Amino acid sequence: MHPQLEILLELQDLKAQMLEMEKRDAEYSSREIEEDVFRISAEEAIVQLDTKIQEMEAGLDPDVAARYRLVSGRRPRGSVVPVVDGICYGCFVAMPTAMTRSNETLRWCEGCGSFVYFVD
Amino acid sequence: MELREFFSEDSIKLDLAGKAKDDVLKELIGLFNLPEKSEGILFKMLKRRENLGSTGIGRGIAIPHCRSLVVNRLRVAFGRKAPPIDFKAIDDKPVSYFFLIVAPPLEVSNQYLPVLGKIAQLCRESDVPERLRAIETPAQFLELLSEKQV
Repeated sequence: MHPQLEILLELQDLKAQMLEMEKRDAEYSSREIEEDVFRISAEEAIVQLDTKIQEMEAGLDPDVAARYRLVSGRRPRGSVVPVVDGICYGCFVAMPTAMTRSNETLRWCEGCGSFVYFVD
Repeated sequence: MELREFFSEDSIKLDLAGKAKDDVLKELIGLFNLPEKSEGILFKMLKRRENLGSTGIGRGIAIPHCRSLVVNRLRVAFGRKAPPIDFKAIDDKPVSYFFLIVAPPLEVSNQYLPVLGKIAQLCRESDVPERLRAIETPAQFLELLSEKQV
């Protein structure tokens, strides 16, 4: 796997975890479960996750960081999206069939601009 | 929606071999049959979640969980370890029973939190640790889930 893609994947997962922890209005709230069942402080967890996200963002190459910043603010599904059965799950458009389905190269979707991760 | 629907016999291991927390997490991840690199990323995410606070909820049970792009749908697994291991659980007691839950960040069916909640609900039942200790086959584990109707 491309090392920058590995960082991007971790960033995406950490952001998903943090956003879920911040939500208060869902029927099954991650925040409630984490606090009631696992007895962790959601506020402290959010701070820890945010710190880790910032540390990892600093590890991105400048050109990757530029695209990451560009897409992460405007793509509700995140800056890295899975490609399943050739479909980009950021915009639900089929990826070009000529594109090698490998995670060894850092790629993005021409449709939505998000980095893509090919899921087996 | 019942918990039984999410487990299959090949995602259940009643004789975990790992002697420490990390070994057990890796063994549980192995039940998902993911590519090696994906297993590594998932392990890191689970460790990051454990760093926020142990998922050992007491009474010998832990529910490691996270969201990760390396899976394309909700995945669950169950493992049992004898003798129990230190998992930094909230009651400081060692852990024998592990429910692993992983879901992608974008999940169309939104099953992750309800399933996590149902597993927590199951684990609160007073007889569950003893019942988990007594099961002899994966099929019996599935029968227990069906019986509990969680």
